[in-house]
Amino acid sequence: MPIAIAVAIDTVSYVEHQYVAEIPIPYARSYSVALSLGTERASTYLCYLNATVDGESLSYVAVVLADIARPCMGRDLARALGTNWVTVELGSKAVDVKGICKQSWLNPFIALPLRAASGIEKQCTPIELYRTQSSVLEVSQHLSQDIASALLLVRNSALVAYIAISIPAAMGVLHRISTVIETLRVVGTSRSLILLSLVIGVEILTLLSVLLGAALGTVASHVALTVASSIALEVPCRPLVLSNLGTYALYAFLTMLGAIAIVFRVSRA
Amino acid sequence: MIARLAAKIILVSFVLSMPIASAIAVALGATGALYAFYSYIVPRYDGEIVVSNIALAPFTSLIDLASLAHRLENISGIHIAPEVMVVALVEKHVVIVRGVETEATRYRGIDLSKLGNCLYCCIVGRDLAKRLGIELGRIVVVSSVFQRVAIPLKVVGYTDREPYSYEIIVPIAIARVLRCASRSHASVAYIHAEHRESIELLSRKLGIGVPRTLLERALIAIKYMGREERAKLYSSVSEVYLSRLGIDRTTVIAANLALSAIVAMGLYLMGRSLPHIAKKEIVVLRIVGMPRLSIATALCTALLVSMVLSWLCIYTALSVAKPRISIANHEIPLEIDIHVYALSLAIAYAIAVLGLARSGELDA
Repeated sequence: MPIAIAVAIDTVSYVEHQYVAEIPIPYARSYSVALSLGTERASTYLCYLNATVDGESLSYVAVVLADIARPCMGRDLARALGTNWVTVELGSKAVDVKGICKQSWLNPFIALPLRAASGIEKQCTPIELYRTQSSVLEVSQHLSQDIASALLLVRNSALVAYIAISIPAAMGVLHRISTVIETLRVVGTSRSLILLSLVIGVEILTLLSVLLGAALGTVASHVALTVASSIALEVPCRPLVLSNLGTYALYAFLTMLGAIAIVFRVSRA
Repeated sequence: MIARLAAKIILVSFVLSMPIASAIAVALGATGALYAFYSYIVPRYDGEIVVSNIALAPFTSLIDLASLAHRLENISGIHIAPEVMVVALVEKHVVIVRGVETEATRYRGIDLSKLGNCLYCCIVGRDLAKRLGIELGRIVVVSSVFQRVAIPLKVVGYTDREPYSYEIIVPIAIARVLRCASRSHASVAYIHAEHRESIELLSRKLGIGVPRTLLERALIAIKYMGREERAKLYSSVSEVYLSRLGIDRTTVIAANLALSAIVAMGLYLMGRSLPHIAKKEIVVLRIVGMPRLSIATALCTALLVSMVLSWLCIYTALSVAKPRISIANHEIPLEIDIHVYALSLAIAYAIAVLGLARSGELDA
């Protein structure tokens, strides 16, 4: 059982790492630009205007009115639309937007100089764009957490079964060593001392079985996942033993508590 | 006495095998739901071929539409509906944003005309809107891992259609901006063919032989290695993405069975302790001259009845309760493969019987 738990833990970590590794974000992008709508002191405005792209009329095109020299189009928007020439309807006049914006924060938008807006900004929403420290890996981490929590369900259900079945296991062990217990009682060993020895024995055995199982499981799953990832010719699997040590310790502790409770329950009977 | 023995065994083993049965059912259900997730978010209909790149997920896959269109030249009755899928954050919630071409989705019987020619607009899935409290006409700010700048989108409608009811639907150009993809890229493409011959011709052009039985529900993944493209045939969407990890459907079933066997290992101990629990009844039956084999048969039968009952109880309870797991705000029901579940019962029963056979109590 501890082997199965170890394999499950490693699989969770493996999937997490694979997801994060597959999203090609340069590490330099450790911040993002957040957008705050309706800010009173803003000098930037967001307008939804009509535009024409390659002869096709589009409504609700997000246009940013900002303190820039000339109309321009965000790099990512230009790539997505396949053009860098758009005509924007600004009130009664049409503004031709050619060229790519230099500012990276304008990447998803069309941008017009604020001075060219001629009062139209009153119909727009003031916005504030600011740097935020939120990690770009946040989304992939959220997603892998969702998947990890589903896999945790598998692992926890295995653990519940493990603890539940410990009852007949503990009964069986006590039954097998009943002669030893009886002998100890005959030679005058106190009941509490026998109980203490049983608890210590169960603790050591549980700890050993969990740690040994975890070690074996980690090695087994690591080998299997390395082979699988090398077959897929993609991101190699990295050793996950250390990252999972805390989880193993927690499970060992929980299993130990369960085993001690069982020993006390059975000894009363 | 034999009835008493059977009743005792059934009761004890029913209670003891219940946690094992529930653990196996939940484990199989969770892995089943995870496996089915991709098939759920990339739904395909009859007469369609799904084309995707080999990646870990549809949102990290990118296919070259220009190259695909080039391959489809001279094949009549073909319509391509590309989609760009992005995992994004909306108000600190992970949401799947799906970019569609409204005209192309009509061939798939999906009406998303509310998007019209509106570029920075979105349709929000009804369930997602309820969960996040998104109202019509409101502006939602969407940020993705691929795009450093958040994008504000106006909500112009709701949709109830599965799987969109947990997603945000946007024009494909906006999804490309969020994905930092160019106009010629998409995450997946659904190729709708009006004639069976068109699919045959397409598969030949891609250099793969599609069995006639699979022809109308074929799934093709294209792997890009530099300039070289390799197409491969799959039977399910999940298989495409899991193949990236080197895992196929058979491996998943084998892993599920191995997991079931490991979880059921404790039943060996239960099997061993059963004759001890019913010791009195066994002794009486032996005294009245009942053969050992008959007692063992009665024990095995009682064990089988109780285990089948506990497996059935858990299955029924899960079918009624319909527990779900949440991935990117999609509520996926636990999906238990009934064949694997039945096999897990067989494995668990074999383990329990082994324990029973190894018990020395019957010889006493």
